[in-house]
Amino acid sequence: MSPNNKVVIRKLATGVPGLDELLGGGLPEYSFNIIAGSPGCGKTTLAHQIMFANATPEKPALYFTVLGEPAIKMLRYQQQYSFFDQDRINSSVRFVNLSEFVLEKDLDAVLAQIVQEVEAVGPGIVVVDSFRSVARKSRANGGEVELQAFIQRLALHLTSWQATTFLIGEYTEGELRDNPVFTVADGLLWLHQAADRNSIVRKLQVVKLRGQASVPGLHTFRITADGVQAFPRTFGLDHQCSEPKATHLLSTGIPELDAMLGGGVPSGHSLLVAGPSGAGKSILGRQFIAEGLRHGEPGIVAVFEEMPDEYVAAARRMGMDLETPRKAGNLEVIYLRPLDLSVDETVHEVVAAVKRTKAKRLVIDSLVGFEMALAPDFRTDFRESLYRMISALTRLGVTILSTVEVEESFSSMGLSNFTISFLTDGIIRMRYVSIDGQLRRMLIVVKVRGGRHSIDMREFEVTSTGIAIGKRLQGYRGLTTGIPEPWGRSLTSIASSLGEPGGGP
Amino acid sequence: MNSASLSSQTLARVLLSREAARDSADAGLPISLHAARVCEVLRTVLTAFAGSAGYRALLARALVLAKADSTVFASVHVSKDGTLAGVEASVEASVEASVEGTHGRLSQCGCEDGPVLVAHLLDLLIALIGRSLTLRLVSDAWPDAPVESWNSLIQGAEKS
Repeated sequence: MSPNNKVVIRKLATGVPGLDELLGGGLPEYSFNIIAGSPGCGKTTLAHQIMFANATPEKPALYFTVLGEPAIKMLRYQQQYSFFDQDRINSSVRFVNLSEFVLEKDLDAVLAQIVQEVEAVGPGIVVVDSFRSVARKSRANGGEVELQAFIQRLALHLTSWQATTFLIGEYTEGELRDNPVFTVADGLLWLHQAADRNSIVRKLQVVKLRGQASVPGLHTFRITADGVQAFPRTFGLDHQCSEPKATHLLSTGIPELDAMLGGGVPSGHSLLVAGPSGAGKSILGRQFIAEGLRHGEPGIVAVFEEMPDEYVAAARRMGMDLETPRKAGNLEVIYLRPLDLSVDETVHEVVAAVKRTKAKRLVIDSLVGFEMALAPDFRTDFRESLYRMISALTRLGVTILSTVEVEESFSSMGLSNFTISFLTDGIIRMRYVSIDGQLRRMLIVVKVRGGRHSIDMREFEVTSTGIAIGKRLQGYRGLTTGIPEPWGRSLTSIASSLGEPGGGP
Repeated sequence: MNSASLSSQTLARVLLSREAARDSADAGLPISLHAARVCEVLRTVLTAFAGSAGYRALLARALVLAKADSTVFASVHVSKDGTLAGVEASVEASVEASVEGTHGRLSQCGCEDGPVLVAHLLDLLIALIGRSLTLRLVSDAWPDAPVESWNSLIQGAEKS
């Protein structure tokens, strides 16, 4: 059979941001679907959103309410969402109450009533909320076979009437097996909601979808005043790089550092700036973004530890004008700290900002703050999530500078607490060193992928206008420990300073 | 007395008048008798999505509020299917009591309090699902008048 002879399954846009991508392009038209999950996870909202996105006066939506949330209350709450268009009630969207039928009659009567309504209206979308009530009624009567027959006849009828159907039900994952409802369904969307410490984490899974390739796995979603919004784990990873990496070098705004990096930061690279608290990581980030703006490169700063206005004010105090480009729309300072954030949600926010501003530079200040902003459940996957985020952003041609705070040890020099250094193309390490009774700052370029870079350990200062890089620290050994010793110091003098026998004054 | 909102009272009066005008044989009957008809029309529309139990619960609440405002509904009750029962008997009893007394006028016997019940029912709907959706349902029940006309009627009542 040639491909041209195959039936073309039209995909309906769900009206739920991110969900079409998860479904592999949208909902198959005329499919028979189940939206399952625990109470309060957003099933009814999701169904309403899909319904309002697709209902038209010619092909209206029929929403059958059964024994669940009272219809009046459902309307009361659902109209709070922006997608709920009151003008379409009873023209494009019709609500039908089946509670009495379910309570007082058998499944045949329920089916007959649904069929009667469907045949009278000719809907494009049919929702039965909650279908679980119908199933319970059947089970109470000992009718497992009766339920299966009911579902099959319902699916058959609604598909024949060219309706895309959604059965909504409160199910637990243990009920997934041997359940005739799930066997008949073409699509099964499972909504999860779990409390983790003080955060609520919502995740969505396309457990089953006949006829097209959906994106497997659990994807986070959020319910806002606009309804459900899904954040696919693959967001931003399914497209080609907008431009090849390392086609040119970007100045950091500090000529000496550019020279240490081999001329600058290669475009499209992800640069990690690691160092202890107060070392100057955020200042370097500000200089990086300000330098880009000076060259007409729009930028994004994602901050987690201070408010955007504070970030801009701190830059102003160092002579960097971020306010003008911010007002002109060339710079966005995004504050992300709802404390139950998912990485995918952050990627979505940042990617949207990058596309909005056509940003070339991105500063994430800092990864520690970012991790803290995540719900605990997401912190366990932080490294993997970060990989996905960096990949998605660098594919857009953005050059990223991320800061990360490391706990300073005076015996070794770690690069970060997340073992994420392999994810980045370049690493700059800042650290404190104790020299001649002073706590000085030192900077090292540890890595520049695919490029030559300086191996010097250079002293630097944080001045009123930013970072000023000084000379290479020469004449010391053990600089990376933070407690260097001058080269050539005699063993006797070392022993003396330690107060050991034989090393007296 | 009518403790319902002024806008719902205005709307209720118009709805009762429309039902009264439907049949010329009903001309001159106490307006309270038409309240049952209005409620019946609303029942058809509201039961479709709220179920008969849902509509019954709303009407029962509205009736309790109406009884506090007017004696004409004293022996009225909501039957299981959501219809109003005992309206005629209740109105007749009020008329008789009025004739036996010194008033002799329908307005003083409470027989003109029909809008009270409907106004409370409308107030309840507005409180629960909002004015816009309530007017849409009213417009579905009396399709010859568009939502906008009901809306301007209410706005006019609020301004006065």
